[in-house]
Amino acid sequence: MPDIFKLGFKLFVITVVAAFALSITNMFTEQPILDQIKAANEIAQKDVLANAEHFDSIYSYDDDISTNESEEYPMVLEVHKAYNESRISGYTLKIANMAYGGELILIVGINVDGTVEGIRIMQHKETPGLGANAQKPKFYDQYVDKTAQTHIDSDEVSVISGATITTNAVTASVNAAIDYYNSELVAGGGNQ
Amino acid sequence: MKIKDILSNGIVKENPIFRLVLGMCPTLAVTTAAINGLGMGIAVIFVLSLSNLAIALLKDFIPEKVRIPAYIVIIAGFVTVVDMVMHAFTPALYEALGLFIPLIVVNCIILARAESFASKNKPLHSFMDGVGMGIGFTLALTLLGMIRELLGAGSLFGIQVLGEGTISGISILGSFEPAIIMILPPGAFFTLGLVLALINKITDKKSEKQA
Repeated sequence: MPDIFKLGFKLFVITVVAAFALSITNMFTEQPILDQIKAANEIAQKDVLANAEHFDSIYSYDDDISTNESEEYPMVLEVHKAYNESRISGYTLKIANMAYGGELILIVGINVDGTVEGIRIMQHKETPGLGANAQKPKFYDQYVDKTAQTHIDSDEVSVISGATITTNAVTASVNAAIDYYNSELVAGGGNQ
Repeated sequence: MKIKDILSNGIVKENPIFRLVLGMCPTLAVTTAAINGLGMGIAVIFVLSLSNLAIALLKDFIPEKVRIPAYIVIIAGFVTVVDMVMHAFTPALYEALGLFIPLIVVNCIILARAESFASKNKPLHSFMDGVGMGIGFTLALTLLGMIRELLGAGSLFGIQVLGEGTISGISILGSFEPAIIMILPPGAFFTLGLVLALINKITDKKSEKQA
């Protein structure tokens, strides 16, 4: 019987030390990690809206989880309003969608003229060599300068060979951004 | 035992992939491209050498009967610390390796080396065993990744070398059609099996000569 207490105690000591080491590490790294994520986001936002200088968050799925808006646009994660000096230069929308390998998160930039200025894939689990080619400019530049007045039709975009599902998921994501833009940002007086 | 021997043991004689055939799950899963194999390998070198060192230092404290849970706590702790520190302070490195770090917890090479080497040897030797095994793992994974990427996508480390869209000059075969199966799961088994067979053939010949 005393043996079992000794074993349990030693194992307990190891787990306590490990938990303590992890909490110390977390204390030092939590803020830098948040800053990194924010910085990576901002780089992507500037990539899709070239002349934007700073961004204000106007919608976030996590904050508005119980509102009608989050139910109506389940794919829209975040919306930012972009400014150049004090004028609005456009919007960036972060969209999540299920693609072939799992969740695919991308960011769409729509400028005030109502055209898609750029898209970037932020996170994906697609097959390397096939769906993962969606990260290449050759693919995502196809969406540049498409009008955001109407949906992008699937035959306007040439499919990545062997990755139709990925291509369709990206097009559907961009269309989700266009929907949100037309009904919430243009109609909602967001351009004023 | 000499440090040099411990290092080369992990790279050649007891190569974790080709000789011990350990850690097959990440091996088959991540080697779709050469850069993935390299990334996973470097992440393993980090964690394996540190966890071997920690376990060698603690070997007199850890009771025999509960050694496995103790090792798992130590390894998982290290993996998490490496993950958080990399994410916070080396974002470029994290972007390349971050995907592989959590996968290391389920890599049985780490546990196997803790059990069969670090728990019986001095801290410095255990650390060097981790480095050697890690390098052996990295080389093996990079080799498998290169073969699969070349045959399956016609590129090496992301640079197109075969088939369409090649930079003129390095293009070897203009009409090369990538065999997509090589970057899908079956291709992992094909490549690993053939490379293992080849290496066994070579080592068999060597031992015949010696005998």
